[in-house]
Amino acid sequence: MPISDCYDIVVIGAGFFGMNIAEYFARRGKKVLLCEKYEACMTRASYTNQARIHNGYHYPRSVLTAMRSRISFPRFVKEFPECVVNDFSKYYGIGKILSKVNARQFEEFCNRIGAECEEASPSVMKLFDSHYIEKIFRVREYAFDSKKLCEIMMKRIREANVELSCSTSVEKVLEHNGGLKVEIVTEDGKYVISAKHVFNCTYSNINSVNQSSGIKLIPLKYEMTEMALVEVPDELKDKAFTIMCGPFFSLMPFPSRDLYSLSHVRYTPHYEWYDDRDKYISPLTVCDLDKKETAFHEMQFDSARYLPLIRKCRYRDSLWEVKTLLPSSETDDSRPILFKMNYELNGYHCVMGGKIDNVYDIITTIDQNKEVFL
Amino acid sequence: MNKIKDIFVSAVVIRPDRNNILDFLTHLSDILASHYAHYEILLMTTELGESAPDLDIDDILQKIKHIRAIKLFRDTTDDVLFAAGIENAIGDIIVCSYQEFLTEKNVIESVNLCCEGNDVVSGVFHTKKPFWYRFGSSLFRKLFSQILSYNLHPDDAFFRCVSRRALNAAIGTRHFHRFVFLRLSNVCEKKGYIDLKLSSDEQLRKPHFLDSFSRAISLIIFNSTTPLRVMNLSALLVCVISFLVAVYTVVVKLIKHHVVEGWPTMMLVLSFLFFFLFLILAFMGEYLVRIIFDTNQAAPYHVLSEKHSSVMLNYDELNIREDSVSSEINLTQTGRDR
Ligand SMILES: Cc1cc2nc3c(=O)[nH]c(=O)nc-3n(C[C@H](O)[C@H](O)[C@H](O)COP(=O)(O)OP(=O)(O)OC[C@H]3O[C@@H](n4cnc5c(N)ncnc54)[C@H](O)[C@@H]3O)c2cc1C
Repeated sequence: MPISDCYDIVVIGAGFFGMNIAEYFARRGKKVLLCEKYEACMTRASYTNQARIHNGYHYPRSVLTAMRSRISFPRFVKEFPECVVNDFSKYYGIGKILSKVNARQFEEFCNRIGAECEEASPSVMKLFDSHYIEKIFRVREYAFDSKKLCEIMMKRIREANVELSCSTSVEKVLEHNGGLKVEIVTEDGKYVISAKHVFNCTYSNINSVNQSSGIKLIPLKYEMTEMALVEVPDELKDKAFTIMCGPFFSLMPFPSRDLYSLSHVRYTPHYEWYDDRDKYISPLTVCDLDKKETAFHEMQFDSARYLPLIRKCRYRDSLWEVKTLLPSSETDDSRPILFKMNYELNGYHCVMGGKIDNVYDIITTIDQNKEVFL
Repeated sequence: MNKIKDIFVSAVVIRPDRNNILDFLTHLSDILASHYAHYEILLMTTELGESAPDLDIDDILQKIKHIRAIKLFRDTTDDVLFAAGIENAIGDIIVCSYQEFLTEKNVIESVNLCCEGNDVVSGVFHTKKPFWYRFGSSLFRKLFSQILSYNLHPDDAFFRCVSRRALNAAIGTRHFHRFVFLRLSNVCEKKGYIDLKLSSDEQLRKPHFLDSFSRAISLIIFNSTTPLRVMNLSALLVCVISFLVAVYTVVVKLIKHHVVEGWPTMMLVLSFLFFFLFLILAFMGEYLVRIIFDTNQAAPYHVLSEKHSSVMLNYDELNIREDSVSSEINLTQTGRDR
């Protein structure tokens, strides 16, 4: 339950983006309330993801996303060293069939964004079926431990004096006397608080708050995604692989569970949908209601065509999350951050995070507009 | 002010002209920067002989951003330069031509058409060509367009705007570097055409008889075995005829007693047969040469050097969007297939 009924800034959603924004304002002397629907912070997309600290390699078809990841990478690694996992070798393979880039283009692209890449040793190349793989590159890409990242963020918001209210769902945001009125539901009941600025950082649930507040929905695309958590055979330990680009898969360490995550472009998204104002259903509800039938075997069989040892992986569990994408990213696979300032209401701002390490871009943008908020 | 399209366009300049290159590149990069969020310019050159001085690449790279200069070994044809240029470009959409065709109108119009879903946009330039060219070209089209799937426009010019997916599909085809235009035109779902305008004071490069002839012969030899089959059939037919002539000669010899009378016929038959024999041999010989060429595993081109501008990327641009949907049409689909 919030201590006060009046705040400078209310941030909805204690994912990585919400926590960073809350910390930014609190450190500048603002009275900040951070509301999280669940009992703990960073339990949704900021936990359920492939734990990849992007360094650009993943986006040969969106130079901007690649370049921003490339620029944010060293900053993220320096700022959160405790959660960075780099005790493995990372390889990017270029598929021969149906690939949207070839090895030469990939190498050229890496040079261009300044991302290190070198041809993998023959022993690594041997792990792959040369009929399907044109070339393998060894690259510099790390993973993060989302539990440790959460611990760091918890410490930081505490030190910055952010008031955190867990098990608190924001239901509505309304205009009130030139400011904003926020309706929240906690375990103890319903409350109304007032705020000068409200940041909606609820990722897939952004439109849920908009819908109940009578605000126009933002066009977004949702995918019900599954990432399989597996144990890898000894030959694949200390290694991680991503096959590009088109039909591809990724096998990455998932440090917070001490397992590996397997994702596949075709089988990780189970189905997709867009919002319908008249029959609106919250993506979190869709996720709760989903039968969650695993597609691990399809992922495994297809990936094993490229990397036969994947057949030896043992399935342990799956992570399920609603991936939220901008329809505009469909043509080029970019992952920008969506930032809608003063969206429909004065002082109400929507932020949809694209990538964990791209968080700096939103902080920079807020800082560039600080006269609006501070 | 123009609305900047959120796409990556590569402009490839084949054999840039030394004399006004700086002005041209400054103008071209202004056009690209004012219309597209990301761009690069590739300069495709070859090593020149002693007498002709090279472009001052280092000067260009210092003065203009987003330039890559690729230099190939000397004996590279323009078609191979073209193929090498588009193959090494990294944009979603690639515009490639000679300097004189890379005008603002041509670039913008072709990229727009490409974004509307035309995987390959060809430039068409209406100009009065020499008689031998018109005659040869129409004869070639009549005889071979069907068997070679040759569907290039009669006024096709050395200009293409290509989507990444069409390029990637074409790269995988046989002899891509040699027949880049034909391969591009055969892999795309939808084609577009634009009427090219020359930048005012430029002169168009004229077709050379030998170049055009050798290009036509290459097209026939590399893309179809039909002529060989026709020749083989003719050889068979001539065999039958020569056999019949032999029978006729024997019959004449048996019926008539004056051998001298058969002398002119013999001469006629012999010269006729030898004519065909040598024609067939010539064709077979040509095929053999091509096979030898083809089985030669040498790379289609050799890169001598590649340099680029010190500034290639805009490091200050943030990855933030204000809208989740884009108002621009972009059907080139470099993202996931759907
Ligand atoms: C399958 C998948 C794989 C990914 N892989 C990677 C990767 O490898 N690397 C990478 O950098 N990025 C990856 N991403 C993207 C990344 O996970 C997201 O960009 C990032 O986590 C978004 O952070 P967030 O804080 O905006 O969202 P979240 O972490 O989802 O936070 C939103 C929070 O809002 C809360 N909330 C929702 N509704 C309400 C409400 N009404 N009231 C109060 N609270 C509410 C939620 O409970 C949640 O805690 C991946 C995403 C997915 C789905």
